[in-house]
Amino acid sequence: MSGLRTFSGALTVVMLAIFATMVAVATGYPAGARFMPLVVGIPGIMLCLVQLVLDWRRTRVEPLREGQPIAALRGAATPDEAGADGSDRSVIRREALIWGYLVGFVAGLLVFGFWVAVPVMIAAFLRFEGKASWPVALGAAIGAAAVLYGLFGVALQIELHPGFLTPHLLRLLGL
Amino acid sequence: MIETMFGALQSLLGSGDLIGLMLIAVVFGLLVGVTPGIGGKLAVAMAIPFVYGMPMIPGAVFLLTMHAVTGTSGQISSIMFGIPGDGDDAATTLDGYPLAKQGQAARALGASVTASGVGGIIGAVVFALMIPVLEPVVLMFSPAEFFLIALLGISFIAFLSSGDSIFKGLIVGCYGLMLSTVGMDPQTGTPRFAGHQLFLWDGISVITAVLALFAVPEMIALGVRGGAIAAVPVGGRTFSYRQLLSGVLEVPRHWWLVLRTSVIGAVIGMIPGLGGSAAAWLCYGHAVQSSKTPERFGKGAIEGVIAPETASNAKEGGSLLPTLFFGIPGSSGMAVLLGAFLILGIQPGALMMTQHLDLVWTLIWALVVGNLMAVTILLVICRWVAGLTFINGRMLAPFILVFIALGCYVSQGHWQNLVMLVVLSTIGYGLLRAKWPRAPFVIGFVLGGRAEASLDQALQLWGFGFFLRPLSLVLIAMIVALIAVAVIRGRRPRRGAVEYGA
Repeated sequence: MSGLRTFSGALTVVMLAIFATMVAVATGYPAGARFMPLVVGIPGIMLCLVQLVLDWRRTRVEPLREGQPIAALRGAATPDEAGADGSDRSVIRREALIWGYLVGFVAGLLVFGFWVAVPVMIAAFLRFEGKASWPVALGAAIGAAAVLYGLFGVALQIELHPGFLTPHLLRLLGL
Repeated sequence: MIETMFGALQSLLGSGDLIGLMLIAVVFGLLVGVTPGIGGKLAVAMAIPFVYGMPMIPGAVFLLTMHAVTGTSGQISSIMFGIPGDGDDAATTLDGYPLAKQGQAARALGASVTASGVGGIIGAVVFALMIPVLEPVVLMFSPAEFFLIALLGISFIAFLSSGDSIFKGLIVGCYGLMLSTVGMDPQTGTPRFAGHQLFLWDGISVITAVLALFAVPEMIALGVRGGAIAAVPVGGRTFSYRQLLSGVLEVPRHWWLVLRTSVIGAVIGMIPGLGGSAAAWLCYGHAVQSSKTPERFGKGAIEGVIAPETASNAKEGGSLLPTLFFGIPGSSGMAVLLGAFLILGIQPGALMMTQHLDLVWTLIWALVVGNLMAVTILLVICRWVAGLTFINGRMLAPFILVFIALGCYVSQGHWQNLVMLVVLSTIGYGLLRAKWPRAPFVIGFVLGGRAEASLDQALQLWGFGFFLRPLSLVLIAMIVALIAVAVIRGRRPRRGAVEYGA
């Protein structure tokens, strides 16, 4: 289906899969519990199908031209988003990089906790993505950790997630 | 009502804590407004964790004040450098930048900041005047209508934010409603879509969902594109406080235009989804049409700065009205704000009229006082604040990411919410990347629980006959008409895309 070649079309399929899965799961619940998921999910499936048909019809009316920049097909409308060479390869690379930071940061938070992951991520991001100098990056990381400690550790007395590994490591080190 | 009105003002001004909170909100909102890439929505989403657990009134006052003043400082880059911060400020650029090039940047800034503040205040007054008019309408609503109101809200935002396809907006709205069903079913006690994950039995955290759908995608986009306006030379712009004062005095000099455009802006704000861009451009057009010398516009007419600024800020007061009384956010920023209000325990609807009128008046006064504070502060510091437009977005991204992670974790103290954040963010970023609207998700998600409860109540009271109640029929007709108009509009050849505020 040519509509799927667009990012929007692929997203519609993802949404359709989400609705279909949730409706299928909901059918196993008691009548009262499944009512609302079905009231929402079935129209959701129908809307996704309508959208897919619309996407398909649109791509038939306006067939994808060979050589057309991928960015335009995937919704990156501005030249800035599309990259200087007209392709969106550079955008995808940057997106993957920022996603990498996000996932890595969350993984770091879970494994090592806020006190370790926050300064490490800030220093790394500022140095490698923001092109800041090492002193600036490290200064910002230490400053952020200090503010974090002052605000959550001292003022609000909120215990932040210590990480799954850090407490064990500290115990091993006798701290 | 008069007693409640002045009681609210007295409580607001008499509380050092509230004034202090508002001051923080104003400063934060102004800084966020002038910084490229961070809008009011992201600011509110990031601030939600810090108001979590606060009492209702201080939390709501803080968030509303911050949201309301972000637009006040947004026009600085439009005037100084000819680069609008967002769609609302684009109209200001037409005459603001030529004024700056003529060496009158301070005059233009003085006029725009004052006009913005006055517009915000008049917008709040228009909202206040509408309360007695709307009271009987709001009180007519029963559970049946509230279920349909939730659907109408999603349809409205979907209609106005989806451009050529309402179905995308409706799909996103249904996705929000669907995710709101995760957790313990209130009727049978069955844990839905939660499996053995106990943290999901209370449902998906609203904060996590809002951050994942709004804040994370914006942060990633900021990290990808950067966002500094560093290429624009700042030198050569003259700035004097005498000129600034002359700009401030332009507002009372054009009081009739200010009043007209403020009222137009507030009324546009009441129409869900139209947003600040529509208000600003409509009022700019009105200023041109009503001028005796329209040829001056586009070359540095001060009215061309005043009209869009009053309108875009006045719409905040107007858009608060459907948000508070009907649960239909007047704009995408209001959709996020509505989510935050629900987290604070504020239930939009008839109860706002009957039980929480003091809160409504406090919010109205917060708009007035917040705008006064913002104008005063910004007139003093606008010269230096302009420098913030040179910050590279990539330098901000890691700090925003820390805010997001803190908000996500602190709200419930569950580490699983961090995992959920990443999972939901993939959809959030997908929606942003595919240019699908995200505001319907928030409405669906935050109103989902209430919509389900209202549907259950309506079915118990009237069975499926509740669809045939007169008011229900009117609401159903509105939903059908919206979808029909959207479908017809989508079939016509497009004459030009209009971007709405979602």
